[in-house]
Amino acid sequence: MIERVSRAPKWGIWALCVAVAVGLQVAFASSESFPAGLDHTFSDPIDDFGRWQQSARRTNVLFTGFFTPLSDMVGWALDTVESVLLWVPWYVLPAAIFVVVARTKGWVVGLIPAAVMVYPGLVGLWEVTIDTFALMIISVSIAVALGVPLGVWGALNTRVEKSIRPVLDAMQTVPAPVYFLPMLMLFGIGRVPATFATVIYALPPVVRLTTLGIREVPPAAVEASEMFGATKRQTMTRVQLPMALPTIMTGVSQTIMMALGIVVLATLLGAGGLGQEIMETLSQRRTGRGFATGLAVVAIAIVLDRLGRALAVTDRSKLPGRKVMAGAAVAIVGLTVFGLASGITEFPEVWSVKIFDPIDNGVVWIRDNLRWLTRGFNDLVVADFYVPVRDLLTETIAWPVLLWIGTFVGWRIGGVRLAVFSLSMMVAVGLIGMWNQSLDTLTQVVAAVILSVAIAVPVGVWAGRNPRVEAFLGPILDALQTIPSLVYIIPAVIFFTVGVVPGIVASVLYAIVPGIRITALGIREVPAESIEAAQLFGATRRQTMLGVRLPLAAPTIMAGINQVIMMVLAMVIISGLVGGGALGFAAVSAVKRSDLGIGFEVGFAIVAIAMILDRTTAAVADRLRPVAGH
Amino acid sequence: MKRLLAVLLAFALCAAACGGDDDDSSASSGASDDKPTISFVVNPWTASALNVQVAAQLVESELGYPTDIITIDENEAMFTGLADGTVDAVLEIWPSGITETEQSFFDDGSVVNIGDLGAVGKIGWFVPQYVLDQRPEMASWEGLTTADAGAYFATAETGDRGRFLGTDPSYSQYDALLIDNLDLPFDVQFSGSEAATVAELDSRAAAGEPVLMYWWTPTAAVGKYDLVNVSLPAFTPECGASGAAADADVACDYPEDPIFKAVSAGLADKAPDVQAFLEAFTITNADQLEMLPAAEIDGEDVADVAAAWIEAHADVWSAWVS
Repeated sequence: MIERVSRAPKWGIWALCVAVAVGLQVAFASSESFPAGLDHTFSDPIDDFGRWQQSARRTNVLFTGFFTPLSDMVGWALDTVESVLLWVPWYVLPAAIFVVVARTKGWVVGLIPAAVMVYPGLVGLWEVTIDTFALMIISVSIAVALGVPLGVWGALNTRVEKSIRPVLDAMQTVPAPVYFLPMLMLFGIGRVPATFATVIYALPPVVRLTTLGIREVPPAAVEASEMFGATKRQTMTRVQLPMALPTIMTGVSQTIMMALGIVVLATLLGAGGLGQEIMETLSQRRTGRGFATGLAVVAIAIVLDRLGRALAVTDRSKLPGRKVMAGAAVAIVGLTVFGLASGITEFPEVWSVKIFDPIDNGVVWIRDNLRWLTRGFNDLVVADFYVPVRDLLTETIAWPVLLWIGTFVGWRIGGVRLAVFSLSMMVAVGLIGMWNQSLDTLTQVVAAVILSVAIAVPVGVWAGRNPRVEAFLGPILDALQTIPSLVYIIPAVIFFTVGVVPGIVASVLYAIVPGIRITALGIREVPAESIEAAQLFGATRRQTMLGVRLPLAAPTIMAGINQVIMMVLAMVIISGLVGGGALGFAAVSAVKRSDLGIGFEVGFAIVAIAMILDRTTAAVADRLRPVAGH
Repeated sequence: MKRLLAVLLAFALCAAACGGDDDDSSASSGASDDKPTISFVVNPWTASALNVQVAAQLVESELGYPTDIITIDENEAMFTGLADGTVDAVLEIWPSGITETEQSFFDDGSVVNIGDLGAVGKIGWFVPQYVLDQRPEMASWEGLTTADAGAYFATAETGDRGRFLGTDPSYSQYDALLIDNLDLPFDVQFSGSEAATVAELDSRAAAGEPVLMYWWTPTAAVGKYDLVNVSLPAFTPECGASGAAADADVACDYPEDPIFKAVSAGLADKAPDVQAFLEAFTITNADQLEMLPAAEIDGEDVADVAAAWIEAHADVWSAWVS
């Protein structure tokens, strides 16, 4: 596309863009903010529905015949799992985890998740961890039970796959709290709506990767199976599914990670568990305790991940003999009976350790000694970037100018389709009355993305060049991705101040993870021949990096930046909990006050921003990709 | 693979041996199987958690019902839950926060007001004492009207206007209206959560920086940070303020809130003795202030703090269970 437009017209087109923008600015300079013509068009009926369901849930057949029984069923499953886990002596769960994992992976590997499972008990969080563990088991089970068949169906039927894909895209871009309100309406309060919200948020990876896994099974294997007279069902269950299992399991572990991200926030729905514990300890400013609680979430992640991998091994020859397994089963039953008979069920309190309390002193030290640095950074970001840019977008520049620029940029980058898409999304956001709040949030998102990219790309390049650096960063990145951001966002308020900065800092910490990983991948995948060729022509290291590695890795790095943007958007709601204002606060407020109509509008605005940025960055990545003959 | 068994057994023996001295409190709770579970709502502030802990522990130990505690914001979803019986009781409703829709649950009888808790809350504007040491005139709203007063509380985000620190959006509040109607040079910045408000207060107080914020009594923070309630024009029923349904022209202080208790309409049939107990259940400001510092400042577990209160006040609660 670039080639078709020669230089002079290209310059002329941008000049035209600026001229139109200036013209619009002059014409609309004194106009008010975007006319919110549809401010109540959607929110009022939704509010009416909310009010209707409050009285209807006890009488209407939709509730009494469907949602309420469904809710009761899931509630019963949650209660059962939880009460069984709390009824058996505490050591039975780690022992059972050990047996399941050791069965396929050997006993050394089995000891790791078993020991990790003991950790929450050691820091005095046994019961709340079991709460969350039960919620995770049920949600992930439902997600897998729905996701694998859906993925198989998609793999077998292209039309089904095509219709599922946009829904999955939407599910992944919509910030999870947007689901919270409908869940509250349909299932009431507590752990049941939390379960369904978690399932929706965590479903996409398992569906996608199941479809991918089945598609990747070599056709020869399927043909061979059919040649031996296997039915379609037999081919699926005996050949395709087992061969696709590694890919499906990757999807399941991603689903587990997504689910963990949401069970903590589900405290807004009354789900209790570790999320509630984190919120309470942070209100008491016990940062160390909050950190310890966050690690309990990480512990659940490790245990579920290892359990999933262990269960997925199908190579029967490597399994221990029946006698050993029967022995292990008897041992567990024996231990249970022994524990129950001697009255051991709860985790012994005497074992509780308080290893994280020094963190509290660290927070106080930073508060008292590094204020010049943290507050200086805060005021720099707020006074020199956030406030001027926000005011520029919401007050100085007239809204038609922004519409024009957005559409024009969309057209230049992604053609007419992207232009039309961006324009219609922007107009819709304006019409429902979310224009200024969206621009405010966009300003914060841009600040977070700039900082994230400034950190992630250099670090990613370094890690891509140096395997030792990458190995060192691995566990740190894992921890950043699994520790609930609530744990570090409240100390961020103490260091910076209530406002946009704690949210930006938390978004950066969360978003640099995929940024670093994908950049490192891109750098590593640059073909060795290209680099050798460059060196042959006498290029210096610096020249090789700037002239060969970075350009060749650019499409992958752009995909990483795309992920960074999506992660930052996922954190918008968190920033609303610490003074970020705009859409984040509106989302928090809608959930906390069960304000369905506003919740819908905020959700739509966040999704619109996400989709515009997603498609624009994807289009940029496409254009960076070297075309044959380029 | 025999090692697998050996490890398992060793692990179990160690666990059993070390865990043998565990108390069997779960067995002694006296909860019998045939009694239904009583679900209490806790709202996300400490006093609410303490009240519910005292009630729930007594319902378990004295009346023999199993209990369950659900934390949720004070919003319409909570009332919906009470109305359909998902939860049975809430012990700390602030009358100033009742919205029109929420009132409808009382009107149609699905949620029942079972009387005052005993504690009287007061929402208001608060500053730390060190602010008044520097600017004594700020003890009253009249001292906040000048541009200079705004600049004193300004932050990077509010520029030359003062920053008023708003709160969790589910709490009842109309500070932005008050600021407008009293024509004060302030902007409301919502902290978004109580955790963020407390973190901000802690950080400001440590450096002696000024802060003007939404807060309420009874709370331990008032004592810990030496917070003073800024006086606003006195509350009168006529000045237009009725909590969440505040008129746009409200220009007076928050009213005193006689906190009350409410239960699901179904509780009277489900567990009449629990209903009677909750009707008699009383926690005063003095009781709350006795428990709050341990939980909010020393960071003790609310269940332990409540248990200590129960231990010390058998004379008070024995009347509720008879």
